[in-house]
Amino acid sequence: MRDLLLLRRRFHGEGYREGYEEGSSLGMIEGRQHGTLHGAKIGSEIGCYQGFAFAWRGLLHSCATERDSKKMKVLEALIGMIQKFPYDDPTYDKLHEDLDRIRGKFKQLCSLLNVQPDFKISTEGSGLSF
Amino acid sequence: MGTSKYQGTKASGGNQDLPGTRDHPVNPSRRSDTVHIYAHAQQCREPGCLSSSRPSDRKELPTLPASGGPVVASVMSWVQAASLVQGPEEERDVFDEEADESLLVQREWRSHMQRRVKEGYRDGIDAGKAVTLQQGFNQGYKEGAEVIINYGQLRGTLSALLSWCHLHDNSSALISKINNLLDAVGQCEEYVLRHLKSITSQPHVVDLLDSLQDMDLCHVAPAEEKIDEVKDERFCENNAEFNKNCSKNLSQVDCSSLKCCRAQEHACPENPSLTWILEQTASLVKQLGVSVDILQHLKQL
Repeated sequence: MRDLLLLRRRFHGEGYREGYEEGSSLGMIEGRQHGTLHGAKIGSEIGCYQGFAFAWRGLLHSCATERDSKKMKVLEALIGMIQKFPYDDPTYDKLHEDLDRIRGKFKQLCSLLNVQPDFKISTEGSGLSF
Repeated sequence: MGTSKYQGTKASGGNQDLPGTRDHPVNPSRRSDTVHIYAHAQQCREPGCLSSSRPSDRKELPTLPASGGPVVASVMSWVQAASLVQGPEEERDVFDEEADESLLVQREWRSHMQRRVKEGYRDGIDAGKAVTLQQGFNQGYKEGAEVIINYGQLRGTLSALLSWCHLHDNSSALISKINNLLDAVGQCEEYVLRHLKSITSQPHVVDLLDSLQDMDLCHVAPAEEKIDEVKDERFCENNAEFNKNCSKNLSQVDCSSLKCCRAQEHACPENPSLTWILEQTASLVKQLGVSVDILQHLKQL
């Protein structure tokens, strides 16, 4: 009887090994599919802020009066936050926290500049659920 | 012969470990299975082998009576024998009387063990998936973020220019031009995202191509590829990425070669669409009377 159990275990083990290999590559593919979408969303959002901030920095620099303004300070602060943000690392433990701070800073900048950019960013699922 | 041996085992009973003993509480079908197994096990063994059954098994079952040990130990050899039975005809002739019966037992036994293999396979799939899902997610996340951030930067830049124009009451011609460029970037982004999604399910396409080649229709595949290339010429950079990822999926290869390829991609300016948008953006900035230096951050594109 014990041999029978051993045998059952052995057959189970053989199937398991094969399944494990198959499951490993399936998991890789499935995981990548989800990861790509979430990474793309966050890359899109962060890239937008980055492009917006850099362009505005150039534009403000071109007007002598704006160089040391409050706008410039907020702008530099936003750029600093974005550059420190590891946008390509989903395991970053302060991802949500930092992203919220960046969003807040961006809003602050927009109201200072008195502009309302239409980014069409879907904030409801931007790399936040995984 | 086998039957008598089985009866002999029963007679020596009293051992609760042995299925098939009269008072063992196993379900009827299972019980008959094991009975047959035991009986057949005896058939498959030479009388001389009985006494020389594996000593290790005996050690594992110290409470067995002398006659019980070999019986249990021979289950293994029965399985080995069972897999042989299909082939050699003469072996079946030897046990002519029980041939039908033992065939049935073999079939039952085989289907039982196949079930075990399938169960194991399912368990293995789940376990394997659990291990690599996160790994794949992280990898895809990085790839998606790295590719799409460029489009985001371009979109953000154009948005900044648009808001600048609104603030400074620039001509509506310029504003509509920026809006058109923004739409173009949006389309590019969407396309690349769709493309990225298809990269991740690439192995299936490769399987398909393989089977096409097997069917000796391989001339079809390159033709289709060409059409794709013409259609998506402006995204050929991503095509390169596509192929790269496909080969990576297949061989699970190292990232170093990937990084190397990526560096090469940046070196050759092979994205007409993005390049076109960039050019348009630069001329737009000049029209606004601002230095093109404000687009410096986009140079890496």
